[in-house]
Amino acid sequence: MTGPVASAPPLLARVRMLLGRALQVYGGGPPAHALRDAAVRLDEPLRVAIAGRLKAGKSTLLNALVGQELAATDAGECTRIVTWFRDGHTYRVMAHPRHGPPRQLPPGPSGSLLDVDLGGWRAEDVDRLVVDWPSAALRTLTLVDTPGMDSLSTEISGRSETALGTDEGAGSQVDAVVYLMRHVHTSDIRFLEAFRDDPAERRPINTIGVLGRADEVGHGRPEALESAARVARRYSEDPRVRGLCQTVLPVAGLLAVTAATLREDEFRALGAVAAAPEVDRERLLLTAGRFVGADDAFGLSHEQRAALLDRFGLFGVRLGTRLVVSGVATTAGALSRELLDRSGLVPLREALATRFAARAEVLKARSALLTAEAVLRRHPVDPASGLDRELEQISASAHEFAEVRLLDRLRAGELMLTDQERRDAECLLGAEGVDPASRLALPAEAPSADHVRAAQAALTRWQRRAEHPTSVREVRDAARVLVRTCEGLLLGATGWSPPRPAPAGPVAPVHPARPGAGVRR
Amino acid sequence: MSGKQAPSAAARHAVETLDLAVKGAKAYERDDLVQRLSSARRLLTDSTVTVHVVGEFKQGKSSLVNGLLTAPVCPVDDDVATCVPTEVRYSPHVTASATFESMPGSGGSGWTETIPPGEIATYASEAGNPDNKRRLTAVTVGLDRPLLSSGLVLVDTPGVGGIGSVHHATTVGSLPQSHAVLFVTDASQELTAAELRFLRTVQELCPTVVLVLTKIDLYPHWMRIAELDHAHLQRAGVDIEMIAVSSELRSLAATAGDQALNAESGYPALVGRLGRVVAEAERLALDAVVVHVVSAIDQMEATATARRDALVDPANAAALLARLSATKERADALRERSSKWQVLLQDGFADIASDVEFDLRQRSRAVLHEAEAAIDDGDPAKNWEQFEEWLRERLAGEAMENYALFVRRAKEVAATVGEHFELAESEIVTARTVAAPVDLVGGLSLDAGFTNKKAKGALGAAFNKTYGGVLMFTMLPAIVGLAVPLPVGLLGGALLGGHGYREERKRQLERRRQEAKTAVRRVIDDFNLQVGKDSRDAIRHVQRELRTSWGERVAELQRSAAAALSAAQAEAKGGESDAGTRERIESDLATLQRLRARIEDLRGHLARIRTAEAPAAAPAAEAGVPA
Repeated sequence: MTGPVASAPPLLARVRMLLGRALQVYGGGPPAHALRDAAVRLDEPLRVAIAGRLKAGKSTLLNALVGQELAATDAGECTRIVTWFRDGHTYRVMAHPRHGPPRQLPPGPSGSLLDVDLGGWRAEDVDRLVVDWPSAALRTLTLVDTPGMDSLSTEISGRSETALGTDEGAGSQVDAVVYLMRHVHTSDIRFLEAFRDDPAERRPINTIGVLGRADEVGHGRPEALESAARVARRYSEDPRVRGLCQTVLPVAGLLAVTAATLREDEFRALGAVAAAPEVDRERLLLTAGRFVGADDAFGLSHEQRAALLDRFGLFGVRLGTRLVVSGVATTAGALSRELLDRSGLVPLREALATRFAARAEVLKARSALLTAEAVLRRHPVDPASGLDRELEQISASAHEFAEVRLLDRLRAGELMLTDQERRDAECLLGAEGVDPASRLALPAEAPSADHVRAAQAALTRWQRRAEHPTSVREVRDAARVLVRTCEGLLLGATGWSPPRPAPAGPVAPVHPARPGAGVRR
Repeated sequence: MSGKQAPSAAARHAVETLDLAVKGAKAYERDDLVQRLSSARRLLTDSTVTVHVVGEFKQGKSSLVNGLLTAPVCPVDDDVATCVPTEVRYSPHVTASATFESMPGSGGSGWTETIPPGEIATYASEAGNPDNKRRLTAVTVGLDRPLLSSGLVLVDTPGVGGIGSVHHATTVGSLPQSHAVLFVTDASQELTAAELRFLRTVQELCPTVVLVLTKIDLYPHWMRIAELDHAHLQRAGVDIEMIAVSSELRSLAATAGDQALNAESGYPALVGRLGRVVAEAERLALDAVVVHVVSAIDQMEATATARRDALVDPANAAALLARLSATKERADALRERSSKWQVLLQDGFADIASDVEFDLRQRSRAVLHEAEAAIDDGDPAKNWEQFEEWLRERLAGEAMENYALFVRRAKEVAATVGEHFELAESEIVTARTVAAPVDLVGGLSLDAGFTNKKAKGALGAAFNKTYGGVLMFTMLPAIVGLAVPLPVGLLGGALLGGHGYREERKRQLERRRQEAKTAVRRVIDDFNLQVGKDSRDAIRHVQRELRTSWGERVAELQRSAAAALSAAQAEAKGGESDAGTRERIESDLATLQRLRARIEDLRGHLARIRTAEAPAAAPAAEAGVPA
C-alpha cells in the first residue's frame, strides 16, 4: 500500500514469513505464544491506545470516537482497568485476569461498561477487559482506554504503563497512541512528560497529540474553542512537540460524545432553555450551581437540568442554547451536526484515518518485528541466528521503514534542510496522508498529468540535492530515500520505471550502512 | 507606603502601654530594656503581612488576586499569562514598579524603576514579555484597597514551569517569610501527585496554608472534587483548610455591585480568612509585646521591691540579700559558657549540621543514581537539554526538602533550649531570615560540550533517533513518584546491527555516556559543595542569632538581679530611711502595677479572642466545603 516500488515483495508477507520461521524454531517453547500473537495481530485492526494524564478526558474521547457511551466516565478518577474496545458481532465483555483463564462477564443492565459487574474480582486482579461491540468506528481501529498517569494511586499509573509498554518483553501491546493533554505551559517539564506513555515505542510517526477538554480552555467563554485551537496550534509548532507527535488537535470530547448520542428529549430540554427570556437565561447559565439548583427553571426538573449539564457541560449548554436561539439548529439532527462540527472530532477522525489507518501496514509490521526482535534477544538459540539476519534485512531494506525513519528524523529537526525543503520532504513522505495526491500536495481530483509533472519536479529537486557536493552525508542519504519515493510516485502515475536496475539502485547501499536502525526506532 | 494604616484598638492599646513602659525603663536607666521595648514597638507598627498565591499553571492564580482586589491588576489570558512574580501592596495612589535583573556576567545587583500602571501587563505577562526577555525579577503594584490597608501584601506567582521547577522553587524559597500561602487548584480535577507533594513541603515552611478551589462556577461537580481533595489530603496527613471560590462571579459581582452574586462567589469567606491571617499576625506581634513588657516590668519591679523591702524592714535585710544574691548567681550561671542552655544549643546545632549534610548527600546521591541509570538507558546526545532541565529541577526540589528539614529541626532545637531556659521570654527565633539555597541551582553549569561530538565519525548519526525522547521519559517518573518499568523497547537497538558498525556505534555511545556521567557527577559535586556551604552558613547564622538573642536576655536578667541586689545593699547599709524615698518607691511600684494591669488587660483580650475564635474558626473553615 505504502510501498511505491512494486517489485519488492509486500512488507507484511515478509514479516509473516519471518514469524512463521521463528515459530518453527521456538515452537512449543515459551516464546511461541508471543510469536503467535504477533502473527495474529498482523491481520487484526490497528491497535490505538488513548493515553494521557489523569482526568485528561480519555474515556470521554473514546466514547466520542465510538459514538456510544461505552466507557464509564466520572468527575473523579474513574478508569481503573485497561480496557480494549474492538469490533465484534455482539456486545460482549471478557475479563482477562492476571492469572488464570479469561472469563466472560454478564452485561450490565444498561448495556455499557458503566455498570459492568466484575463478578467477584477486584479491579487489581484484572489485567484487562476486552469489549466487543459492533461498530463501524472500530472496524479499522481497535481502541484501548487506559487509566491516567500521575494518578495519586501509583498502582493505577503503573497499570497504564504495563498496558502501553511491554508484555513480558514481547514488544509493545499497541501500534499507535492518541495522546491527550490538558492545557499546560510548554516550558513545563511535565508538558514533555505528558508525552511519556509507553517507554518503549513512542515515535512521532505513531502518535497524535490531542488537547482535550477544549471547551474548558479560557473558562468556558464563548470563544473557548478558538482559544483552544490557538493553543493547539502553538503546541504543534513547538519543535520539541514536533519531535514527539505528528500534530496536536483540539477536541472537546464531551461535546462530541453528546453530539453523537444526542436524544430528542435533550434537544427539547435545550429548546425549553432557549425559549426562556434572555435575562433569565443569562442569570441561570452563569454558573453550573445556579443552573441545577434554581427552583422551577425552564419548566425542567432539577434532575433533568443536572442530567443536561452532565451531558453537555456548562459550555455545551450555553453553546447549544445559543445555536437554538439563533435558529441555526432547528432539529435535534441539526444541533448534533453543529455540535459535532465544533467539537473538533472530525479532524481527529480524519487524522486517525490518514495518519494511522493508512499506515496500518507499516505500523503493524513494525510491532511484529519488535516482538520478534525481543524474542530473539531473550532466547538466543543457535537455529535462530539466521532469523536474526533476516529480521535485520527486512527492517533495513524495506522502503516503508526508510520513509518512516526519515520522517521521524525530519520531525525531530535533525537534518540540515531549509524549512521549505523540510515541509516538502515531509509531505512527500506522507506526513499529510499517504495517497499520491497528498504526497505531491495536489488536490485529490488532480489529473494524472499533474501528478507526473509534480513527481518529476520533486524527483529532479531531490536528485540534485542527493548529488550536490556540499550536502552533508545525512542529507544525501535522506535525499536518496526521497528520490526513491519520487520514483515510486512517478511509477504509479505513468508506469515509468527508473533508468537504473532497481536492485543495485542508488538507494540500496544506503540501507546496509544503517542496519538495525530500522524497526527499533 | 507599607505599614498599618488602620491599627486595631488592641494594637493602639499595646503601643500606648509600650510607650509608658519605655518611659519607666528610661527612668530606671535601663537602656537595654528601652531598646528591647522599642524593637517590640516596631513589630506592631511597621510590619506587613505577606501572602503568596501559588499553584500549577492555568489554575486561576492571577484571577484570584484580581478577584480579591476587585481590580484587573494581574494580567489574565486564556493561554499563558503571568511570567514574573507580582507583588501587590497598599498605596494611597496607584503605583507600579519593576525590578530588573542585571545582565548575566555584568555582576550588577539589578535595579528598580517606576513603570506606568497601565503597562503592568507588558511587563508581567507572557504576551508582553515572552520568556521574560526583559529579565524582570518582580513587579510591584501599589493599590488603594481596604483589604491591603491592614498591611497585607499579596504576591502572585507565575505558574510557568510548574510547581516543581527551579523558577518556582526560588519563589518557594521565600515562603518561610510568608505569613500564609494560598494554594490554588481548580475544580476540573482532583489533586495530582505532584500537587500533593508540593503541599507537603509548603506546609513545613509556612504556618498557614489554605487550599483555594477555583472555577467552581464552571464545574457542576466541584463538590465531589472538593470531597476527593479532602480525602487525598487526609490520607497524605496534610491538614489544611479549603475554600471554594469563583473568580468569574466575583468580577461580575464587582461590576454589577451585586451583593448576592458576591456571596455566591465564595470570596467573602476567603477575604474573611485573609482578615484572620492579618489579625493572627497582629496577635502574634501582640503576644510578643506582652511577653516583652511583662519581662521588663518584672525586672524593674524586682529592683524597686528590693529597695523597698530593705527600707521597710531592715531586720530582714540579711535574708533579703541572701535571696537576691542567689538570684544573681543563677543569672550569672546562665551567662557562663558552661551553662546548660549553651551546651544544648551547641549540641543541637551540631546534630542539625550533621543530619542536614547527611540528608543532602543522600538526596544528591539518589539523584546521581537516577541520572546514571537514565544515561545508561539512553543516548545523552539526545535530549540533553531536557535532561539538564530535569536535573536542575530535581536538584532544586531536593534542596527545598533539605531546607525544610533544617527549618523543622532548628525549630525543634530552639524549643528544647527554650524549655531549659525556663524564661518566660524564650520565644523561638525562627529561621525566617534565612532563604532557601535553591537559587544556587539555577547557577550551576552543566558541561554539554560532548553532545557536539556525536556527529564525528562516519556512522555517528546512525543511532541518533533511537533514543530520542526516551531519556527524559525514563527519568521523569522520579518527579511524580511513579515506578516505570525499564524501557524494554530500546532493547539495546545496537544488537541487531552488522558487527563492525555495531562495535563502532557502541563505542561511541559508551563514550558519550561516560562523558555525560562525568558531567553529572561534576554538577552534583558542585551542588553538594555550594548548597552544603550555603546550608552550613544558614545553620551557623541561625545558631548565632539564637545565641545572641538569648545571650541578650541573660545579660538583661543579670543586670536586673545585680541592680536589685545593689539597691537592697545600699538601703540596708543604713541609708536615710526618710519617708520621701519610700513614697517615691511606692509610687514607682504603683506605676508598674498599673502597667502590669494594662498588659493583663491586653493578655485577657487576646485570650478572649482566641477562645471566641476557636469554635468560630472551625465552621468558618468548613464553610467553603460541602458537608
